[in-house]
Amino acid sequence: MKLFWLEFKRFTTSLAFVLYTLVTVGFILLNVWPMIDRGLATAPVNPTARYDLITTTDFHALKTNALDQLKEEHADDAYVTYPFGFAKNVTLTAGAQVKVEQALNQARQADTRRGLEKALGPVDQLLGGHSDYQAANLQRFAVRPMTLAEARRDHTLIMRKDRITGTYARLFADIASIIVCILPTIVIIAYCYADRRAQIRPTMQAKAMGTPKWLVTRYAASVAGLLIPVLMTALLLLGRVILLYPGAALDYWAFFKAAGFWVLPTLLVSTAVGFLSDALFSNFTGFALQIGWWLITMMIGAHQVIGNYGWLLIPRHNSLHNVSFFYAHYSELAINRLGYTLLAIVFLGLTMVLMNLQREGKYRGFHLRPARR
Amino acid sequence: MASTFGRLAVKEIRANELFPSLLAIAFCGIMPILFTMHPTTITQAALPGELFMPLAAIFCFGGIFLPEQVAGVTDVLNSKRTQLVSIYMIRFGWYTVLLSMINLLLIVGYQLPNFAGVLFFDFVTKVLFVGSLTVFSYAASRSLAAAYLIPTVYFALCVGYPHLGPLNLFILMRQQSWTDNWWQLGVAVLLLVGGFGLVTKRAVRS
Repeated sequence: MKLFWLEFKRFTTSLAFVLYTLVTVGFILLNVWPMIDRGLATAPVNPTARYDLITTTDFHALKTNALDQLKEEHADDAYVTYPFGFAKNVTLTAGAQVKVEQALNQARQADTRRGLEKALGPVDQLLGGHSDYQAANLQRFAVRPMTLAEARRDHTLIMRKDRITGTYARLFADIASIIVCILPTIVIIAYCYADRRAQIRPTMQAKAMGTPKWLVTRYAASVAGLLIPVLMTALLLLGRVILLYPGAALDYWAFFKAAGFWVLPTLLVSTAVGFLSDALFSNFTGFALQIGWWLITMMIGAHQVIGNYGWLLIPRHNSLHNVSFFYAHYSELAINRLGYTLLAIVFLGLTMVLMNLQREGKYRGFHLRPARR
Repeated sequence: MASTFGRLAVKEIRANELFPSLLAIAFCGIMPILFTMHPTTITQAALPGELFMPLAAIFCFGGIFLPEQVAGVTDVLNSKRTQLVSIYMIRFGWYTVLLSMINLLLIVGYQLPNFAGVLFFDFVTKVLFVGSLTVFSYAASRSLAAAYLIPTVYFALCVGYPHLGPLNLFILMRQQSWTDNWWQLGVAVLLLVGGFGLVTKRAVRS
């Protein structure tokens, strides 16, 4: 425990940590604070108003959106696919265009989701995969503005199940996850690099302490420190919501639950990547890998920001609405978060192996030798 | 004198920039897999240069301060005729040229002669803007973490925060006027002058 506090103190008094705290708090507040001012207490009553978007289970909306897009892309022979989340243009040969037309006609006859998936599957194959017509991606078409009845149901869930704070907490978790997916990796690499800079690594490696204890203590101290700005922001936002809704039945723990359940697994992974890449490369190369992972996750998530969990390292829910979707897919999100927590443990295990090899003098980090002068 | 400086530049690049440069080239090598190489609009064509290259730039420019991180090396170097700031400038120049060449290759591959000039100006401005932000962040804080952290946060802000005006990195992607790049270029020059100025001042003081 003494080692934990020593590491914690050393970590949280570093300039890198101070900078991390400032930018994390700033980033979350800048993006969430304006949304907090959007009132949620008033029930929707206007039948002609345009309400926020939801992910619908309505097959008709999904089919109409999918066929409209395919018709347009087929007419222009300009299709878009998303390998690793990035938009890529695809044009087809005349023969393939005929096959798409056949698939389009078949899709028009489909009266179930399964039938539509079957009809559009060949289109995805012709495009080389990763298109919106892939069975797993068809859900992207199921987005449309809420009707008045849906807006009322959404409002009821916000008031009764989310108890207002839960709604804001989802948005907070969405934004906080974006930033904690990348910054901890940099802070940790810099933290580990400080040992190399001071040339104390060999002295530390020679200490009579097991690698698991050494690594787990450092990891736990770092995670505890890295979570501080997230919790600080949660507290600030909770205070703001309490001021905006005096007397309302609020869930006072919602922001902290979101921080622990939603944000923490992402933070665990990015922190573990920091330790692993330091052990693997002994420099900042790991940053390039993490930023690549971050960008790909962001791009994939951007296709459906109002509710997109799946296997994303940053599960997206950038909306104060679409509440039914959240509760309907809660188990999916829970599996996602559990999966990433386990992945962080695996990364930590790999780091441990590499650190043991380093202590035994069998590994010194993967890097090319500088060219001879 | 010029040849001495030239020899120094070549040796410096071979010793310290070769491996990160190869990594950066490999990193950029996945662009044709991720992005379309036959864009039909300038918005599509801008994606790799505005979305991907700034990240490569953060990785490259953050690394220009890495070799002297070992305690005492900075003081030794600053006692020599060639000051550390000159070495930093060589590295900055090298990575600017390297990333600009990658941008040029990308634009040549597009075969969009009408947009080529605007795209190249836009892409190189991004490289310089991110590079200058990295240099200034390090010079002002003396922290390697800041050199990576601040440009990364700025990039993340550009992705989601809509009020950065002409300083948003995604000018063409967001269909802003390409002339906004002049603002970014101006800020880049200021940050570079300030950043290298701080490094020089520090060397004199220490």
